[in-house]
Amino acid sequence: MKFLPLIWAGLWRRPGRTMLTLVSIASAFVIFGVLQGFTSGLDRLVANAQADVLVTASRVGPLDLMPLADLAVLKRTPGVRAVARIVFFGGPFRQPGAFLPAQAIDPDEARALDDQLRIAPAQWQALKATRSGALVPADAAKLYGFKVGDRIPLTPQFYANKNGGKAFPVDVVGIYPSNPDDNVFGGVVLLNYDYIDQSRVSGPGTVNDYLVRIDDPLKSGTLALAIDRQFANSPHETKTYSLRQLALASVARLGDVGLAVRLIAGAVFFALLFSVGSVMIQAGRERIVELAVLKTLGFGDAALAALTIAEAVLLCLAAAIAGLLISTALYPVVMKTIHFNVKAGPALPAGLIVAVLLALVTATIPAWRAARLSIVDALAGR
Amino acid sequence: MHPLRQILVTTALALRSLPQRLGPSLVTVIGVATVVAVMVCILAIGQGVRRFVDVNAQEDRAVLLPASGASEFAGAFTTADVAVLQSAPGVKRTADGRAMIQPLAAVGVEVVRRKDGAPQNEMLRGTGEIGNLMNKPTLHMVQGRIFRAGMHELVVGKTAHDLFRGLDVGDTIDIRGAPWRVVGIYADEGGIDENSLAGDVETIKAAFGSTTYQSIGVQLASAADYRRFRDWVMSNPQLNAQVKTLGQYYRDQMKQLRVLFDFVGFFVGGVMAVGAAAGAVTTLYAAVDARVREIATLRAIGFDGGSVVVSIIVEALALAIPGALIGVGLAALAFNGRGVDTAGLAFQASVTPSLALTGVGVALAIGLIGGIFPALRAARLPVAEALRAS
Repeated sequence: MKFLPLIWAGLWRRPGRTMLTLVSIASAFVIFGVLQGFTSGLDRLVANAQADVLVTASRVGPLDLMPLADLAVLKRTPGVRAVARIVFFGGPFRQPGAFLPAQAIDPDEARALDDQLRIAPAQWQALKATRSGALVPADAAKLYGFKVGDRIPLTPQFYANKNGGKAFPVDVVGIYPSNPDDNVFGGVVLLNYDYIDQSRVSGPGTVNDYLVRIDDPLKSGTLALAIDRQFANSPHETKTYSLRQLALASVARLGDVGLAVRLIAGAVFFALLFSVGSVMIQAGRERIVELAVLKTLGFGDAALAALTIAEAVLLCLAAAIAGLLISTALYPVVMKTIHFNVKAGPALPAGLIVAVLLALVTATIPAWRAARLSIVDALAGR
Repeated sequence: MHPLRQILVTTALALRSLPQRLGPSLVTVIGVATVVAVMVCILAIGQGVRRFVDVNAQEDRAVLLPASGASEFAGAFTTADVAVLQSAPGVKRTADGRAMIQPLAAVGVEVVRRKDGAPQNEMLRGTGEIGNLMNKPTLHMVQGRIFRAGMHELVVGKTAHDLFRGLDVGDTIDIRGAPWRVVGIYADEGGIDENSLAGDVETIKAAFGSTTYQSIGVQLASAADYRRFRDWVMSNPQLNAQVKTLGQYYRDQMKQLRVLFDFVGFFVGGVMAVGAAAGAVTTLYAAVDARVREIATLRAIGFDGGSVVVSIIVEALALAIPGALIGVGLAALAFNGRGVDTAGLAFQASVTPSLALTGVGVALAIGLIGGIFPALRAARLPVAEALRAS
């Protein structure tokens, strides 16, 4: 610790150059932070996906409609704890690019299925009591300024209203805390199935998917097959998979994007390695005389090498933290622009490790030179 | 001395001393090359998406979609809607006088990716005899034959065939509990149409127990007839639809992907360029420091500051331009025509001349910004002091 002032003085020997180096390292960590936030966000998406909640959809596709009669069959399948119907009712809201996620559900079914929903019993009661009611997640309420008692026109992507328009007016009866880690309902507007079913033009008496909570997550594979077997060779064959599988598949769908993200990060640090390395070597060369003086004063070879490395580590860590802070601020803007809804995962631990590695690699040559320095030659200017 | 000559002399001096600073100069070149290469590669994917859509986009074809602006899969047009359209203006007619109007089905079928065995939903397009007439002459069967009406037969786009398992000619896939046979594979210059499967619309409708069509395709007499046709549909109270040209429809579908790659390209490229510019400034400051006496001498014998500024900026550009060329070259070599597989689509990245120019432009900007501050410092050097410097 007592050498900290010495390291600090070394860093600010050429303030201009140090600032420029800080900028170029920090800019690399801005990119690293956003990319790492994205990939670790995807990992978290998979980790949070419940293996004990299955989705039973039509084999044709998750949007294909299925008869409500399947509900009873699913309920009496052994190993099934709860079943909930869902109708995808999300759509553009206010402006064409904005998407407000919404689902029509049966309040009792949804409540039994998703134990992570933070909805108060009184709010469930309010939804049941108001046919056109809607429970709105807090983040959407904040974004659009919804209050309890507001009447909002939903414009679902897939359904038109029997009254000839495309809007379905619903009444906000409750606002519940959003839970980004709950990927069952978590952040969607919840509506009464009965109201929606009777107002939509197409598909009365049908649902998009069923959610099935099972007793034992380890049996999700066999139970999914058992469910699909019950509907085999019927006009509405099903395809059942766990939310965990679904999350893995949606990450796999990104395909080459994952590879591209790693390649970009690799290229950025490849270039950085050269530029920081060259600056470090240059700085080391300019300070040969100073280092020789230190050695004369009794600093050992190892101590000088350690000083050089410590300086590099301090510089890289400071720049990395600055870059990662900027990336945290930029992340939501980036995701909004590219219409990806992936919450940032942690980038700091990986970023700090990369920063230290970068410092160690780039300081190798100057540290080695500092250790091998001959006092007589250096002071003589040879 | 003539100002222009002054500039020539100072620039020649600066460039001639470049080899003495080979190490740091190469670092700048590598930095610029990396920025340009990464940026051009990402933008090339966006260009690929553009090309992918444009190949099959026809401006003289209109398509009726659900009025809600919803996905095509949600469309529900009836035979009555098709009948109403028969009297629409601007519609091309076949040799035997039939209006070229084709009701279309769009349903999802489950297929399995070759690469990782992951299941995925792919579009099965239901079309018919008139619909097949609308296709561009470039669309052709590379294997087998076209499907027959009334049969459980499918044709598969070449990209879809390459991406998914079990879609060879002669294979059967299960749709709604019945086997459908793949009878042909078609190609159309690698465009978006190659990503789907197609079959007879009425047979598909029957298989899915559906009474409606998802969209209606219309061949116009010419692209100029589009406005007239659209206005007629929009003002017809019997039809509840929105109309787009096929080109617009495809472009809208791919907009998100295009925006994604364009934005990421410019974002990553822009941030990296800031870093590279900072690196270039460091290198050129060092170059000025190394030449302090030389520059001061020039000033002392009458060269003005302006010519020194120009010489340093030219040196910066001399580092940026090779960097740009290496970057563009690497991107073109590694990425042009490379298959990209994302979001269930497969297309080819394309490094276009305009992208190459963008890359060079960014490199020049890095060079200019990297050169200007060190150049000003060199020009403002106090001559007497600098000459005394050791």
